[in-house]
Amino acid sequence: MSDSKTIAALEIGTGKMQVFLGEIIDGKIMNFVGSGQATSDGIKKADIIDLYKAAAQAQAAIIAAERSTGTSIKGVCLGISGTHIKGFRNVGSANVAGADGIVRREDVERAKNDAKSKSLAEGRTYIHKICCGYHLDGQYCTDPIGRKAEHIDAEYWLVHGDTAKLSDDIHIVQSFGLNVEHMVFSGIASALAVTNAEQKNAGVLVVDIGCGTSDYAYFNKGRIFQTGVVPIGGDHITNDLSFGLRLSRKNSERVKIHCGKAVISEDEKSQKFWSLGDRQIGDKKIPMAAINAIIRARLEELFLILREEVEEFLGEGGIRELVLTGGTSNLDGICELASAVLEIPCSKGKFDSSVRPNLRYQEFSTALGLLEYARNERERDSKKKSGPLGLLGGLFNF
Amino acid sequence: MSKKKLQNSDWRDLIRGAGALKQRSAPVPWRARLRKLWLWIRRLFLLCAIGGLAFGAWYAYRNLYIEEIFSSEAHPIKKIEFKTDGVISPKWLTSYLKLPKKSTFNDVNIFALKNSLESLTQVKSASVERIYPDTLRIVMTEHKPMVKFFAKVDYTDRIYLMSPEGIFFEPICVNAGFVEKLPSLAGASLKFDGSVPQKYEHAAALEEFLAYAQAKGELANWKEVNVSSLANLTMPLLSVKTRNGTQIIFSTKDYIKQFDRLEYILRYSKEKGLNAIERIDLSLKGRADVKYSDYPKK
Repeated sequence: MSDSKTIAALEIGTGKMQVFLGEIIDGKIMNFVGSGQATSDGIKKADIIDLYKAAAQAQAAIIAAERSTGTSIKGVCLGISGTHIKGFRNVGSANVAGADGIVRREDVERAKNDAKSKSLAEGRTYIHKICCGYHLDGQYCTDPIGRKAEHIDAEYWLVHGDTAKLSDDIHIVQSFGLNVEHMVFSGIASALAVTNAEQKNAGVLVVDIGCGTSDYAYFNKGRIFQTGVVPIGGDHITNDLSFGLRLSRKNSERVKIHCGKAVISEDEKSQKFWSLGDRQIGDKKIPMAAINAIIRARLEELFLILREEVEEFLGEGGIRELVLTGGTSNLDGICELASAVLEIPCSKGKFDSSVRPNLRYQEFSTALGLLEYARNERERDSKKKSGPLGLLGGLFNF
Repeated sequence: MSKKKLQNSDWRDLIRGAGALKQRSAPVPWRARLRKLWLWIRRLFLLCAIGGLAFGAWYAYRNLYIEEIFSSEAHPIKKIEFKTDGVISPKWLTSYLKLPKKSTFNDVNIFALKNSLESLTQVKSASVERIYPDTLRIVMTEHKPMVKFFAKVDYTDRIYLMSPEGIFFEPICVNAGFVEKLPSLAGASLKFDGSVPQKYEHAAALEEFLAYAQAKGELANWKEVNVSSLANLTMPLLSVKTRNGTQIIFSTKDYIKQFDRLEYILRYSKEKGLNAIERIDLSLKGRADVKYSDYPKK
């Protein structure tokens, strides 16, 4: 008998609320079943400023997704972002207890608990506690159990956020009678969708350039090493165009989408673009060079901030590749610009072949990644439950 | 929760939450309200269903003697409750069933009993129930007799009764005097199913005729009803022989007129002292022929 569970991936973004519904079959296979979308309201730079409006829009997206499939969902995998999300590295230590010097599970657990037990400032809450690996007498390894050492260090990347803002996100879901099953930082979710195991082993920096913020996650040796949020997104480019070209936000968005490029050639610099497009009174020609200068300036700022944040990983054995995803990564020439600033090869996110062709858009990477995260967690849970006691427990799992 | 614990809390603590959830009131747009209402309705419905099942179980426990049904210990049958709409008596039934004394519920095969009772030609249907703790209930419906029929089966003269539905049965517990008074059926060409005649096809027509005779008070005087010409396509007739030996011929149409004529003829004959009537033919359209055996010759 196959065991299937429908889960919703909810991305509360600055530009849109995106819900993807996926059916996890036997804890392994993810079957995409439907989606719902609503424009965001009450959110600025990925932070909720009007809880009621944000909740109404998120719930509209959930209902749209439910209606598209005719299924009723109970659990949500919630993707979160915002400038309040921070991370830091912490190392926990333990001496190997056994007389033979062999590292046992208990030694590893002590080191891990030491690393995870770091107290946060008041009003902060942990989102992820990610193990980056271990050091046995100073030597890096990924699986220390069974090896010989005197001292073990567990290295953790701890992601935390503002308690009140996280509560707001949870309230939005819970007020609709749904459970938050997983809370995932959007940068991690996007990285799961657009990178493969090989890239994660080699060292990849994934940047999800969204509407209000850009979330990033750095993977090396198959593990997350660093995450962060840069408070610059596609909205900032739209704002800059609006101020710089004296256009409304609506027209600025149109200009950005239709002729916005991060890098342009010499020939394109002389080209001009009609601001309104209707050639009526008020419509004017805008030089492409001006548009590009504005966009380029903002994107350069973004990549320079990013460079500062990941400076320690740039170089030998560090970041080998930069992958851009998110709606703003659709801008032409953005990869060339990012590559020039960070001095590493850059490409746009590539989706796994299991993702349907009609979903392979950069703006869907977070939602797809959330589904993948939920599938991974479910697979891990089902492995735990596969023992006789686990099966017995499954009988009472309503 | 201590302050230090809160500082080291995980996002899941916000959900389980003693802390954060109580600090802020949840936003509840109308969609969320409707959804919550629907959730509560579903929970209420589930609760009602569970309550209904529990009540059902309790009711069964109180009324159906669950313990007795499922217990290995069987109670002896103390009473046989017998109901019928006919004439079969409990005494005859007891002798027929021959249930051993001190037989228990487990000994009784109610399906076999039912089949045994329904094998009696007089019994239309029978139901046998175990009424816990110690009663066996038998409810029967019987065929009602309309006429009797004499036949010779296996060189033995047998008497059968026929119900208004045309079913023949061997009488059980039917009073001999009552059988004697019933008119006998003659002239019917019947096929036999074993030792019992098969269903008579024209029973409905005969029932209608006899109902008129009963209403006019003539039936008690009739000895035999001959139906040999009843199935005749051109001129269906019914011939009756009274206990005095008079033969009366009826057509199958307009019984009211024919019985009125018969009444008149019998009254006239009685007044005139003409009692030895040999034959009355009421089947003629505009008249009735009467033949007297002792009519004075001129």
